[in-house]
This record gives sequence, C-alpha cells and structure tokens, in this order.
Amino acid sequence: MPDSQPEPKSRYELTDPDVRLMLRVRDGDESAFRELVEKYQGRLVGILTHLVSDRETAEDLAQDVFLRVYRARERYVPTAKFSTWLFTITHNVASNSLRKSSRRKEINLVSSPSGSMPVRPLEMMAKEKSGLMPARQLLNSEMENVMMAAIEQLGERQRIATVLSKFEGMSYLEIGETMGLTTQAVKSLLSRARSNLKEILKPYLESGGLKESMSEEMGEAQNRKAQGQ
Amino acid sequence: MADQQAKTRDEADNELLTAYLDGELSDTECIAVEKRLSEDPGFHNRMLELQAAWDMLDSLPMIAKPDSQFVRTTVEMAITSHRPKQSFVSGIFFKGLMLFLIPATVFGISYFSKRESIERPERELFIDLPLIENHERYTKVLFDDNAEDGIEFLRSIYNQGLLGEVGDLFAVDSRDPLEELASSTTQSPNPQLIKERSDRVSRLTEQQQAELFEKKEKFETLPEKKRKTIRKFHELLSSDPDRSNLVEALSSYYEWLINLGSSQSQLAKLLDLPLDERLVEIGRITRQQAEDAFGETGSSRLPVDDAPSFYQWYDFSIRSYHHLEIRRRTGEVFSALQLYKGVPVSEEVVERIKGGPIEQLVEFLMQHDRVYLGNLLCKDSAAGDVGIALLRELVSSEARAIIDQPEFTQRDREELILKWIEAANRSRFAIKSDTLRDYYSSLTQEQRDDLDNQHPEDRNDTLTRMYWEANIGTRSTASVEEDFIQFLRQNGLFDEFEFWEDGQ
Repeated sequence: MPDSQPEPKSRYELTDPDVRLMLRVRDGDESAFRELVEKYQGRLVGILTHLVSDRETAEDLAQDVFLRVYRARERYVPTAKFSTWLFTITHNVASNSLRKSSRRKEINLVSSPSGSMPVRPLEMMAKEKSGLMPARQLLNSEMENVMMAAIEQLGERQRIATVLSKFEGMSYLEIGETMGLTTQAVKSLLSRARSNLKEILKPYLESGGLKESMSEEMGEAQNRKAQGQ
Repeated sequence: MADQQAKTRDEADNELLTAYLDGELSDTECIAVEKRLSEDPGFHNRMLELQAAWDMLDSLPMIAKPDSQFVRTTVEMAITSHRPKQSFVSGIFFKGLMLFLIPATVFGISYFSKRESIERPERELFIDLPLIENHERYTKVLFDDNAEDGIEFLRSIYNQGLLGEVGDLFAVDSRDPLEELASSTTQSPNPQLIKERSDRVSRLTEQQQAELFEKKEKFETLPEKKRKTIRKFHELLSSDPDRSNLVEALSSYYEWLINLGSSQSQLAKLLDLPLDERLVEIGRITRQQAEDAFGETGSSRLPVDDAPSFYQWYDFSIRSYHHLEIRRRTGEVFSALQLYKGVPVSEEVVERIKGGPIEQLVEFLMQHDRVYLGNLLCKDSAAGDVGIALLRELVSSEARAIIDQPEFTQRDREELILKWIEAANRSRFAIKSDTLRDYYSSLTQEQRDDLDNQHPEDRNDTLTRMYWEANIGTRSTASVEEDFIQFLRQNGLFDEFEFWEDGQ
C-alpha cells in the first residue's frame, strides 16, 4: 500500500461546478472569484433587497457577503453546495443587518419630524387605499408597497425562509442547510410565515378589492388568451 | 384547553397545507390531503387563503442585476484589501513612481527602438499612455469635468497635510519618494534613466500587462468630453512647478481611497461632494482612522482578565451614576442636530429619545458628542468613587499601566476608555480560546448545532457574545450586582453609592 494517496474529491467537488470555482479561488485564482461574483450578484442582490427593502443597502450587503467569501477562501472546505454556503453567509449578514436596523428603528423614532414611525402600519395603508382608490390601482405600484410592508412585518427568520423559498425556489432541505435548521423546523417556519402573511394581508383579501381585481385580471387574461387563440 | 387544542389543530393543518403547496409532501401524503380538500370546504378555503397570500408576493418588484461596476468594485475591494500590506509610504512611492515611470519608459522605448516601426494603434497607445495608465486616479480628483479644480484639490490635500495623519501611523519608508518622482517628471528624460526604468518596467508580469490593456479599453469608452478633461488635467499636473508634491498628494489620495474599505455608495457620496466639502469629509475620515489605528495598537488593548471589571465599571457609570446626565445631554444634542438640519424639534420625540435604552444613548453620544462623553465618564469625583479613579481601583496593574501611559494626555486617556467601551458594547473582548472551548462544551447540543451552522467568523463572534451574555453580559443579573455591591463594600464605597441611590 502506498503511504499517501491523493485526497479523494468530495462529492460536492465532483458535482458542483461552483465548488470547483471556489477551490480555484482558494488556490489564488482571482479570475475564478470574479466569475463567482458575476454569477451570483443578481441573485444575492435580489434576495437581500427583498430582505432589507432597500436596494442600496442590499448592494452593500451583497458586497460584504462576497468579501467574506474571499476572506474565508484559504479555509474553504467543500462540505455543501457552494450556493448553500454562500446563502448561509448571506443569511448571517442579512440577520445582522436586520437586527441592527431594528435596533436603529427603536432610537430612530426620530427621523420623521412628526415623530411618527417610519413604517406605517399595514392596516392604515389598507384603510386608506381600499376605501379611496379603485381596487385595480392597488395591483400596481401600491401593491408593491403593500407587499414590501407585509414582508417587513414578518419575523427575521420567517422573512429569510420566505424569500429563499419563494424567490430562490429552495427546498425545505436546502433552506434548512442554509439557515442551520432541521427540515421540520423549516416546515413550521414557512407555515407560520404563510399564516402570518395571510393575517397581515387580510384587509386586502377581505375587502374584496383584491380578490375581485384578481378575478377580473384573471378573466381578462383568459379572454386575451382565448382571443389570441 | 379546548382553545389550545384547536390552535394546535389549526397549526397542524397550516403546516400540512403549506408543505402541500410547496410540493414537500410524499405521494401518499398528497393523496390524503387532496381527499380531504375535496371533502372539507373549510380546509379547502384555508388552502386558497394561504395560496392567495403567497401569490401576492409575486407583486414584489423585479430586482434588476447590479450594474457592471458592482463586479469590478467588489473584486477590486476583495483583492486589494487582502493583499499583503505594503507600508503606507512605500505604497505611495510605488504608485507615484508608476504614475510617471510607465509613460516615460514607454515613451523612451517607443522613441529609441520603435520610432520608425510602430503601427497607428500602438502609437496611439503610447501617446495616450499616461492618460490610459492614470485616468482612474485622475477621475477621482476631478470635479464636474473641471481640470483646474482637480489641481486645486490636490494642492489643498498636500498643503493641509490631510493624509499625513494616517500615514504617520504606519511604518515609514526611509527612501524619499519625491526625489525620484521629481527627476522622472522632467520634460526630456535622459536615456540612462529611461534605460533603468525600462528595465524595471520590463519586469511587469503578464497580468500587469493585461491590466494595462484593460485600462486602455476603459479609457476608450469614456465620453470625449471626459477624455479632454483628463488630458487637460494631465497637462496641468505635468507642467505645475509643484508637480512632485501634487503627484505625491494624488498617490496618497488614491491609495487612501481604494483602501478605505467603504461601500460603493459611501465612496460615491464622497466623490460627489464639492471641493470644500470633500476636503472637510476627508479630514473627518482620516481623523477617525487615526483614532481607530490608535485603538488597535497592541499597547492599548485591554487585558482579557480585566474585561469583567471594566464592564462593571462601565455599567455602574452609565446606569447608576451618569444616566440622568447622559439622557439630558442626548436630548440636547439631538435637538441641536435636528435644528441644524432644519427639522422642527418635537418635544415629545426628544422625550422618547431620552427615555431610550441607555446603551443606545451612549452610542449616540459616542457618535455625535464624543469629547463630552469621554470627559463625563472619565472625570473623577472628589470622593474618587467614579471616573478613571474608580476604574484604576478595579483593574489590574497591567491595565493601570496602559491607562496611565506617561505620554498620554487626558484626552488620549478618554479616547482610550471610549475605545474600550465600544469594544465592550460590541462584546468583542478577546477571550482565551480554552475558556471559549470550555464554554462551547457546556452548551446544549442544539446551541452547538446552531453555532456550527454559521460561517466560521460569525460562529466565533456569536460564541463570544454568548459567553459574555452568560458570564458578564447579562449585566442586570443579580449575581453581578451582588458582586459589585460586595466590591463597593470591600472598598468602602458602598455608603457613597447607597447615599446616591437614596437621593434619586
């Protein structure tokens, strides 16, 4: 038997091209790092924008994530898919940022001259909008604001799990790996997130406006489709 | 009890439906859910509601990919900030030297060896080389395409010694960069000098050459107006009698800027400022950097074993002794800031601010009224029961020696204490690795799993924070208070403390 054999490649190295790229980064290949940044920048900024509701902050955080990846390159050992590792770091960075911003909000009650809270309660927005505006208009930019406010009202972990599930299409197993949770915990987390969203959005769902508008939209879409055919 | 059961049933139903909608159920489970959906209208409605709420998330805006600058800046930041550190001055020297060496050398090479044979594109490269090589530096000092203001900016940087403050904190290279730079900027470079420099430049790696061509491509994509300004700036810089100083200022500034470690948006904000404001902001940042560098010097680090005592002192100072003054001052500073910004001050808001968590008010003052805060916390009372006098009593002789360094002014001492407080607030005191390992072993399996799922750097931070929270950080725990009261008693300070408490 020979004394030393080449270290067997991990299954992640064999199956995940991004793990191989990261291993090249570990070995000092700067172009591989550029490739990873190019490949993941859009997804990271997307996720983080949904999490922190601010594009500029999201870009800063995404940059922080990539810097952490680079900083950790020498210690990198592939024990998961590269994306899982990357999103784990993203999760940590986003959590820190959300915690900091929630602490800032406590003291920052201040930023508005009237002393009002920076984020208006959703109920108030719903009352203002549902009574005064045609429901259809809600489906455009107003709806974006409503949904951003709704997602902000979820707890930090629920928000992260929601974004990973909804926008990254991750399975419970992958979310669990990213957030350090069991599959069962992810199941409960996402279930609570959905239930909370349902409650938060109740004013819109119950006012009828949204449902009616949705059915109208769907009807129109079907008509358009039928006409097209 | 019935409510509890109903709630549990609801939760179980929600979980089941969520997993069903997310496609996370097995075939058998799916069939069972679908059967129930067809039989139970309540269950069916619940599923529709959950789905509707989820679908509404689709109305969140599409997030566009960042612009092309993002990749470039991120890669540059990562790579430059993790290259082995050059000494600051030698870094300036190198950049400054390259600023003029490369154009001069290429000019020399083109003049002596390629004069007759270079093709047009190459000739263009050589003619514009100084601009190609330096346009990124130049654009960082140009204001709205105004070349003269750029020169004025560099002159101010040099005259005000703005970047010297940071440079002084780094190891100083004994070579004089100006001597070499001054001779390299003569209009007619002598052949010998060019030969020496060309030898050095010929040692450029392939990667450096590739970078040069990348710069050329970037330069060519700039708008014509911008290129004209850069050209004019280069001419002004080259012909300025003070050019060696200006080149030094440019090199220092660019080096400083790329190592600033700020986010893209912060850098953009800095570069958007008009000349005077940008100078003021650079002054502010460099002062902060000087303070930070001071805080990181080995001799000012609080010994690990003194951390608990320091924390107790800090706690006592802000919670029990100075808390009213901290609240009052925060209100004043906050109001002044609002008025300065032209925002009306609401008494109600000020009162809410003043009533906020004391650590946050300390952070606020740390940021906006640092000198005052340092002075307040460090000032000794006549009885010596507060301030630095009390801290000296609490800490080891090693820590006392740090506090009482002979060259320290009172302001230095206050700044040192503020740095320690910042560290305390971030709970980042170094803890011996054995202690942390023992603490880690004492955690539950679930806590250890949570930690192990984190990125290594975060894992360490979290573990450290947990340690502090468990041992000292839960600063209102009875045991810490009792310890402290015992300490006060032992040191004959308790009466003072009690008297003060009664006076509230």
